[in-house]
Amino acid sequence: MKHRAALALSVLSLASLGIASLGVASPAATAQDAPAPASAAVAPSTVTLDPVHSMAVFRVQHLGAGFFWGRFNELTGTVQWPLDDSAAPSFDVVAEVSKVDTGSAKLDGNLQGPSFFNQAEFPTIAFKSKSAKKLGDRRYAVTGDLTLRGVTKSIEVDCTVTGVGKGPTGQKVGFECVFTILRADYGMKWGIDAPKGALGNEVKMVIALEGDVAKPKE
Amino acid sequence: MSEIAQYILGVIVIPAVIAAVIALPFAVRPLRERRVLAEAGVACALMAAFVASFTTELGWTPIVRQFVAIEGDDAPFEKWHRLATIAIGLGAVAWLIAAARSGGEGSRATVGIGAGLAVAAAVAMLARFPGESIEMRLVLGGLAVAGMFGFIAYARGVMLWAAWLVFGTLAFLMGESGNAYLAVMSGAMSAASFAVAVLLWIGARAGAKTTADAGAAEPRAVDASPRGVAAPIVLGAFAAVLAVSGHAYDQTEIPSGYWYAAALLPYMVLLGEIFIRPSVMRRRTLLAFLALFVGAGAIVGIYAMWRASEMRVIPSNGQETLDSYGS
Repeated sequence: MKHRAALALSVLSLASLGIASLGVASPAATAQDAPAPASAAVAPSTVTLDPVHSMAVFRVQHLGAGFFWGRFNELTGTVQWPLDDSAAPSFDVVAEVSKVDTGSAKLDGNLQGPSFFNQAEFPTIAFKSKSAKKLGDRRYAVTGDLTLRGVTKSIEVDCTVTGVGKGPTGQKVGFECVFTILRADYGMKWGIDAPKGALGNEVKMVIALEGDVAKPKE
Repeated sequence: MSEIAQYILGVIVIPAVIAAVIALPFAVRPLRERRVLAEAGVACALMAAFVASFTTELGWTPIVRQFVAIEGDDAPFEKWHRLATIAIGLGAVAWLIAAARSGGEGSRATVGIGAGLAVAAAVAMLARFPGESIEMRLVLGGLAVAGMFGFIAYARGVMLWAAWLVFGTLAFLMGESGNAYLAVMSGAMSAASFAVAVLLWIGARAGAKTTADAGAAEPRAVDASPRGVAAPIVLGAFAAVLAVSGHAYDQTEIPSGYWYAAALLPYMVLLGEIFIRPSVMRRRTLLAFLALFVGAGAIVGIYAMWRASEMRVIPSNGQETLDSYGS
């Protein structure tokens, strides 16, 4: 009798422990296995470009010899991008021709004149993206409209999200975009055929952007 | 031949040669003695030099685009392209002025004044550049009238030499202001003026020799400038338009005084006349030319000194950062 009573007690004890453990473990297991709800995807953040840390550098061949580099300082605009990279970035960027900087004031004046950018009539260069195709982790082929010297043409830009950091003023995101254009397509023909070969037609551009992520409204 | 030499040949030398070929029958023979044709022909030749240089650089599309839409042309209209249209217009107007003035002896002065004022008003209305305003148009109209008067009253005897220096000085300022296109086009005008001035001088020498050989009692004076006012009106108006356009597109902030002084260079002859005494009247042409040459040199020299003093001042870029990260 004593043995039967002890066995029954043991079974009851184990059973109660088992029920108790099932009662705790079951809800947790349900939560982990369920797929993430669609509403959990991060909405695109508005990144307002920081002009001090945003610039466009360009390169063009001089006299068929070396590559000459110049830059446009203080780019402005916004980028829409979800910080979890669940969608492609969308760009709306503006460069002012008056901010061209070659290291030579006289050369800057030449570039701003009617033979090149014609700043007096076309003071800004703008890029507005239309669509994008994912190329890899945080890397996209972005298609958009480049408006330069009054001419708008669709171009493809290779864009990479270079990093997400934190500064004293909040969260920051960096992008780098690379593309090449033929300047003659935008009416800048001086130095291609006349004087022949003075400056190359192909212009490579590297756009470095950094901006502040807009803080969510409270 | 180097690429640069070919370029200079195409945009400056060949347009000047075109101007010389057009001017040849009017400057030397057989049309030199026909005043109406001679003054209009010379003015038209100089405007042709600008148009030839413009079309060598940019083709005819920028001119045609101003009047009709061109299929497949997605380039925008640029205001300075009107200069070529104005040059064509002034070339045509030269013939009208000359023809109107040949109508009657008594009405010549009236026609000349009326034509000058009408041309100045027309260029002030048509030549619209960036930053245009009523003030700019008044300045352009006034500068055109003043330029015409300068060519007629003071530089008539050395008109083409004066044009050579006026457009040469404007070419220099255009180059300094970063306007490569207008620098070479002004250079073409300057070279064309020089070429036509040489032709007029040759024509005058030949004319004087012919008169002397014929045993004329009073050999005719050597007149190395076309008579009439069509050429001075056209040159004065176009110099004013070029000066104002150069100022409007200037990205290097050359003070406006340099542009206006270049267009008003013919007035330097007035200073030269201070040193002319009646006994040396035969040297008047030479002294007038020297005065113009000194004036053009003064503009370039004063500009060079001003630019050198500007370069000594290293400007701050004005960028300030808000924190240690440069944010």
